Amino acid sequence: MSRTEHERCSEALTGYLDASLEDDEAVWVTDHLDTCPECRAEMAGLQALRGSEESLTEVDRARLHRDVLHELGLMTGAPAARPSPWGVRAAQLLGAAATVALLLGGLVYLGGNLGGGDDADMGGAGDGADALQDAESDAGRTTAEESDAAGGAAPQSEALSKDVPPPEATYQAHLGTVGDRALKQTGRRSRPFTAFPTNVEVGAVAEYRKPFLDDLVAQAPDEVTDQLRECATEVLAQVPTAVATYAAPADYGDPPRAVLIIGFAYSFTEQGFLDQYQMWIYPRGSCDFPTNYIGGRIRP
Amino acid sequence: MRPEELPDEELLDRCARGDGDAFRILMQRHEDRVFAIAFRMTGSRADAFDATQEAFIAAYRRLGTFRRDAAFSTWMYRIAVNASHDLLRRRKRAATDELTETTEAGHRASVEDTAGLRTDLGRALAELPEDHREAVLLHDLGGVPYDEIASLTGVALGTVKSRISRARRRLAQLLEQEGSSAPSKEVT
Repeated sequence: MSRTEHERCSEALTGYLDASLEDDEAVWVTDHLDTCPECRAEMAGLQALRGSEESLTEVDRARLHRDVLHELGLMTGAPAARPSPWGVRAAQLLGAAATVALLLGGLVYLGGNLGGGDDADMGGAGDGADALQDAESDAGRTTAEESDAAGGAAPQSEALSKDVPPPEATYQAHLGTVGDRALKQTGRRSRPFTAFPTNVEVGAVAEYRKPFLDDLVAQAPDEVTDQLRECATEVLAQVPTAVATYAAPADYGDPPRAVLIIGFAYSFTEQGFLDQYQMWIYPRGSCDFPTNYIGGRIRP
Repeated sequence: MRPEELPDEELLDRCARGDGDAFRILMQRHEDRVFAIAFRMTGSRADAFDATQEAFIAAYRRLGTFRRDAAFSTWMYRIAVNASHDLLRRRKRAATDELTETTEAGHRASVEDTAGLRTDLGRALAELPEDHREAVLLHDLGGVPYDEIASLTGVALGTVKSRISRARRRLAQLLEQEGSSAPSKEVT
């Protein structure tokens, strides 16, 4: 095997992995790798380097911009103009006028249903049977009583059209172990966000953010109150369109780790309605680096 | 043209005139790769974030020294490599200092954590010669061409190719010795 061939292969490996080589060249690399242990080892090293993707979360980005620009004295008050809900057009929204009627009614806290009760309730909204099954396997429980207690038996459209109850920001003491799917289903179909009225105007947000967070914190056990306030406040500072509507401690992931989950309703736009949600998962005791978050459009 | 659509060169000109928004756009454009490089170097999301932050701060303060004979991305990624390396050195030094003050059993494991060597890949990368590590990260993660790395580091093109090739093979060898051919992912 000539040195030239090794060099040719070495230089082509990144393109080979990216599938950006011409066909002839890709075939040549394949053949060469079959017969050359040295280049196979090189390929293994390259694959290891590129093996697992790690990327910044939107929280990381917002924090990075804030900290760097602040350190450099470049803060202008203008938010980052990313195509992201967090941080977009934030400054313009701060001065928006408030109309609040339905927002108050819309702060419906999920009561013990992260694991599956609400998903069962909302089963009519699509793949309910699967959702229930997934939620059961994630949380290890779901009962009709829980579903009824949560008041989620009504179809989603009905829940959204009727008068919603006054806000009750209760705090779930412990939810057991939950998995990604149950969490997603909770976000998509459970009461914190499906019952959140979709005609709450963005301008209504500002004066209600603090009372809602206070409600959540007041209901939380001592061991998580500081973290809840700190983490939620940090997000609210970045996203003036957001309202904290949900919080729950849980064991999450495999192996289970103690986390604090905080849910927010918000809007992408500076005008219009709060029609999006995000759920953030923080390692217990820290607001740094939420390990995961999910979100989407509040139905319908 | 919207500022977000401007090429790096134009944004750099605006930075030079004190336009903070231009620098923010540059950050947005390059932060993912900077973070990816830093993560590979440190093996920790928290340390990678710190290194990313330090890299951008350092880059802004050194903008006047950027000669523009290479792409801004190339220059930026090299700063990220150096920032990550500096951070690891500080972590190790702090951990070593701490070690001398304690004899608790099992403490060495936590020292490794604070030293940012939480992954097999992180440990393997740490064992590479610095110039090899820099070259392989710039090329394989940053996508920086061989000739730009040569220009940036002031070594011959053939040397860059050789370093990258050797670094990859050494990584594979070290990972095999670790008993894993794939990097373990940090769980935080």
